[in-house]
Amino acid sequence: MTLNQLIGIGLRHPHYHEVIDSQPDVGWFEVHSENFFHLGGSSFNTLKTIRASYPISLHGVGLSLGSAERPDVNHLKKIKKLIHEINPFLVSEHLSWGKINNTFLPDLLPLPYTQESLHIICQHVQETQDYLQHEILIENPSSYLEYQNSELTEADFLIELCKKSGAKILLDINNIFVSAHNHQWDAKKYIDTIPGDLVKELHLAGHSTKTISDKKTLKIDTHNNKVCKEVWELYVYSLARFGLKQTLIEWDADIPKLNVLLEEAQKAKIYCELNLAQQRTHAKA
Amino acid sequence: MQKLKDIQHDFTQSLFKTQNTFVSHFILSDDANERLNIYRQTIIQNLRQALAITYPGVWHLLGDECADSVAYAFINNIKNLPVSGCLDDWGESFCEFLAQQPELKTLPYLKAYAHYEWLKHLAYGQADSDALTYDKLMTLSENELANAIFFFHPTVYFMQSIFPLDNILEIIENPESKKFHLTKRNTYALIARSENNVTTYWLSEAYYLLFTDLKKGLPFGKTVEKIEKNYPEFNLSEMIIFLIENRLVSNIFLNKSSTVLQQ
Repeated sequence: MTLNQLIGIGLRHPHYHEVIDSQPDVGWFEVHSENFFHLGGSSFNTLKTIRASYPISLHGVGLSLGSAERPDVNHLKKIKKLIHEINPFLVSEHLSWGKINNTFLPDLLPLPYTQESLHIICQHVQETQDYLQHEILIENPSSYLEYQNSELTEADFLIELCKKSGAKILLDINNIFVSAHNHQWDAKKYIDTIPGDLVKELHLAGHSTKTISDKKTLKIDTHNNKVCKEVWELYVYSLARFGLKQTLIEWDADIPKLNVLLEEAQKAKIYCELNLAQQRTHAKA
Repeated sequence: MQKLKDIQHDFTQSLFKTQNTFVSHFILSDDANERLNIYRQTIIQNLRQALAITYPGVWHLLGDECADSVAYAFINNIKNLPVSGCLDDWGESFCEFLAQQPELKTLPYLKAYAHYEWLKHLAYGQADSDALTYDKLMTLSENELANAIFFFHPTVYFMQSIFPLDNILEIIENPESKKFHLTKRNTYALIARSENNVTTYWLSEAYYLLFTDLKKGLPFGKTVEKIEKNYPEFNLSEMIIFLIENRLVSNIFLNKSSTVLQQ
């Protein structure tokens, strides 16, 4: 695999035509699965056109794997049909919940990291993989609050979940940075905890900062900015620990010109090249 | 220890109640409300945005500030929230909600226009399907055509309104267009997605009645007979050309032989 093939960008509506016309030098695209559930119309046909030239990763935001209730069968059916149409190389979802008592809340809500939650989400991930007949990747979320009754750290919870269910990890470096700031975690310790063989994809994105009380700030996972210096540093740290991994540049709000995303992708590629050069130097030594 | 289901139930209630009963579950309880509020705001903004995408004309007619305010009122009732993780399926009841708002009573056409936009939203999101061609249609005998049941393309929706939706649409799309006095007038719409674009065909009453009867599954011959009797100006050939050229029919079920024309 070449370095170009490693780096992808999030495919968003404002860039559809430019991507088709210019065929940018990027390895792959990631889309939100729910935006293409109807398998018809302009957006879906655009995705199929782009799929003819690029690998696609399907990234879900609405399955609510961490809900106390079982995954919605209709939702699973739609994902399965989409997988059949698009033949993605990766399928991912989140370590979060959003649905309870027949009400869906469109956000990635935090889970208490308890043994009970672990048992429930593990069942849901296994059920999902069995139904889809496809491995899924689970992404660590950004979070703004923690529960008193959590028994495990988020990293340990994610590892246990993937080991027990057979899923893999989509490690969002920006989310680690955001949550580490919000909860005074050690971001590098989080990365050190994760076994490299479980990680199949890395996410990079921008965030914003909000002041909530006197001198106290929260980082918010807004995906509306360039990747910040500290997150690039954590990315370099992750590459050193895990080796090269499929990496995605995400940008979902205040979406800039395609060029800006491609520049961010280029930056990620340079860090991968540096990592590769370092590996070679170490091997020679 | 509280069960996951109870925690998630309490969390949901906390998002929609001013009195926060959930704080004790947070570790960082000194600013738990501010932290919970970040989730609350994200959920509200995601839902507002979904409504604004589905109902662009309503936002245009009301103005952003007023439309946002009505959307927040709609979202604030937990009964109006989505039931599935696909937001494209959500928002139909917003039309009725608009009609119930006392401050919007001066816009009696708003519910009808919103419903029209909901149907456009549905048409946009339907799966693709082949359309019936002249060649396939020509294979039918006269008797077969008389007994045939038409299947409209999955993107086809019909709507009748007592308000001039065509004029309202024109004003939204061309704000500089000639002003008109809004009076009640029946309009009949056929909404369909052809290729990638959603198109509205403003129908005559005869076409509307004919097509909606056909969509109910009534045989072609009897339906046409009824329309020809009540609308002497009705032209059968023109109607068939309209349906085929605009790719509005996807299939025909041959009543007697129980076969489907198009495979």
